[in-house]
Amino acid sequence: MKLFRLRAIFTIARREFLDRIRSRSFIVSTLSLPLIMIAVIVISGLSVSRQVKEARSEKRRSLRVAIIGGDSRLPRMIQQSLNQFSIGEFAIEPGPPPSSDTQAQVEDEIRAGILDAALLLDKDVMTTGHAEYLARDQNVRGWHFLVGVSLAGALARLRLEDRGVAPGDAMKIVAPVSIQQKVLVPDRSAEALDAFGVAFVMAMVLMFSLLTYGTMVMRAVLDEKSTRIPEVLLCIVTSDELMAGKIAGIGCVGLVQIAIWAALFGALTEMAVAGSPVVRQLVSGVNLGAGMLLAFTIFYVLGYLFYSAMFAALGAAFNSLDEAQQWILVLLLPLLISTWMVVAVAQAPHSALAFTMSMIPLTSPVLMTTRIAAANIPLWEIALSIAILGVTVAVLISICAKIYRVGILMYGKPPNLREVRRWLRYT
Amino acid sequence: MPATVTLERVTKSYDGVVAVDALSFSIPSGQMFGLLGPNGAGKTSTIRMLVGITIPDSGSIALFGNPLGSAGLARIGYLPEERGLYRRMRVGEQLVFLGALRGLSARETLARCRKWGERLEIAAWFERKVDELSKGMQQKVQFIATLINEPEFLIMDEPFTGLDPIATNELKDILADLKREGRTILFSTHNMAQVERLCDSICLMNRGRALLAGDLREIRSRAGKRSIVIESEGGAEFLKECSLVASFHNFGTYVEIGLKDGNDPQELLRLALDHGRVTRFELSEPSLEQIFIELVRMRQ
Repeated sequence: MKLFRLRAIFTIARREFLDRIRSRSFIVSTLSLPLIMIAVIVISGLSVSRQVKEARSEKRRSLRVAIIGGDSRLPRMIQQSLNQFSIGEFAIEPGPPPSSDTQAQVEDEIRAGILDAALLLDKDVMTTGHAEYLARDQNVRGWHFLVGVSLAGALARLRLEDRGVAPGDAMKIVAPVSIQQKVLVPDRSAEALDAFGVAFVMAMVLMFSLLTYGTMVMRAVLDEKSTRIPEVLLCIVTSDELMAGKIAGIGCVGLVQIAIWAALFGALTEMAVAGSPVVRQLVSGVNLGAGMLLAFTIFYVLGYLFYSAMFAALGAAFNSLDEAQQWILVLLLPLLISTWMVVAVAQAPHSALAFTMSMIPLTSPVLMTTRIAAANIPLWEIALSIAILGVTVAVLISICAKIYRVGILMYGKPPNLREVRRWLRYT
Repeated sequence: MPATVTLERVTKSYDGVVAVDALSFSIPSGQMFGLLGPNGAGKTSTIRMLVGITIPDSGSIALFGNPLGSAGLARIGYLPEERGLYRRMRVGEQLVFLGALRGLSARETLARCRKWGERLEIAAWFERKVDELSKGMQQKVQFIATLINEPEFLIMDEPFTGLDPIATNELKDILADLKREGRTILFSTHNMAQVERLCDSICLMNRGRALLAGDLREIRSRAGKRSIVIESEGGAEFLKECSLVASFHNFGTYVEIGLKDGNDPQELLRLALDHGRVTRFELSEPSLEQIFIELVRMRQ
């Protein structure tokens, strides 16, 4: 391509870029999104902080559990065991002696809020180990595992004591163990959740960007067509140069907006992290490496070219947004499918479904980015996905440029598919 | 005189419909040329090929003596019938943008445009956005944009549409000056009276074909002084059915009549006087409009 032609594309791209960057809607949308996201993080952080503070407050009443039946030593033993977990205050109190109406009485007390839970021990609990746990609500029910573990420990101590083991020795035998955890394959355990979050956010940002800037190209073409300026421009530049300049200009708007969002988000998050340890904990899992950013940029650029070329052709073929409406939905469908599949792909990034969808050009920009963020994807898979997408983009652009070339000068009745196919044969 | 542009049997079809059919004409350098014809005659299709927006299916176009190419197209200025400007852009920015596409610097573009802006009394509006301008002003901006690259060949599709009489005269003066500077100008219009006053040569088109092409004076003198203009107080509508009359055109205040061969104009005058007082009776060359109508009738 001659230098002058590249200069023409640059001139058109520059006009598109400046026209949008200077618009009020760009400034408002660029500033508002990170502020809204930070507000959500800060508000949820403050809410969690308050809950933690409340949990630690002395005023918070402890969990009251009544032990019904069994050996009189059990309540104290269970309380000792529960308090060793250091997860909350437990007030274990012996309940009334078991009788035919004990359960009804305890249930009334739980419903009245006097008790939070009750552990009804079988009369042969020492041999059967069976008990019934009555909980006030779902939250209290959640403690049943620890209560059960504590009961098992206490019963084991009593059984040992009954067999002549000194109480001190029995306590040592059933002493709780301490386990230190260490994760060797990061993406398969604790970090998987963080990776899932990052993958989800990246996929959403990509999907949102492709949707926003793709349709922006279509609106720009429709707007240009309505002003009838293409006829003026097309005697100076070719339709391919006009389309390329438009796509490049709006694509740069997208990259600048995402970069501003990333910078603002980073700066505001730093401020929020400095002010709140909870926010620090919330964002600690977010770790974007250079490779991730490179992959995001490549898939953004290729995905954007893929969708914006189709949207440019769509804008050129029709005269108004209303006429193009039904086709917009058709073009958006692959993006909607990608969004719908993000969770499944992020949860199982190595599955056959995830692999296939990340190779199909319609869905690969969003879903390969999701996979890369969620797990360690072999380099050949990433390269193959980029190659397939790149070749498809090249073919698609040449087809869309032909539709654009004819459509941009066509007015009147909107074309049907057969007419558009005929346009592809025009010179 | 060398030709600025020469079309040789140029044909263009869309979906099997022939828009331009084996069209040939040549525009000598420094002339004002009229491309005439009713709506749908193929004028815009021809112009789009001339400015390189579309390519002929067959035939050839030579521009400045060479096959149509980017070097020749860079010497053309084109004012399309459908005016197009970016509404949200400032006038000056818009002109700089169009100048940049032509490979000009902002300074050079603005210097050239200010000269025309002052002449068309629009320079003070260069900082305004296009949608703040009236339609006539937008047209002036568009006209200036056409001249940014100081074209040797100007193609103007209906250039006076939407202009008031004063602006129309300003534009005509400018075009006359441009012609004096040696530039070639092509008008495309369906207003034949306008072309008669401005053009040196014409091409009359109908249904994609050239009905007539050549020097305007020659065309009119070839047609002979067979045209009679009559203005009568009693009205001249009755002459429409007269056996002497070959063609009849009512322009409201006067009628233009073409006599059948061998008939005497005095006969017609006598008939008109019988119906009332005749205030104008003029023997003249037929108007382009009349020539066109007769040609179409003959072809049919």
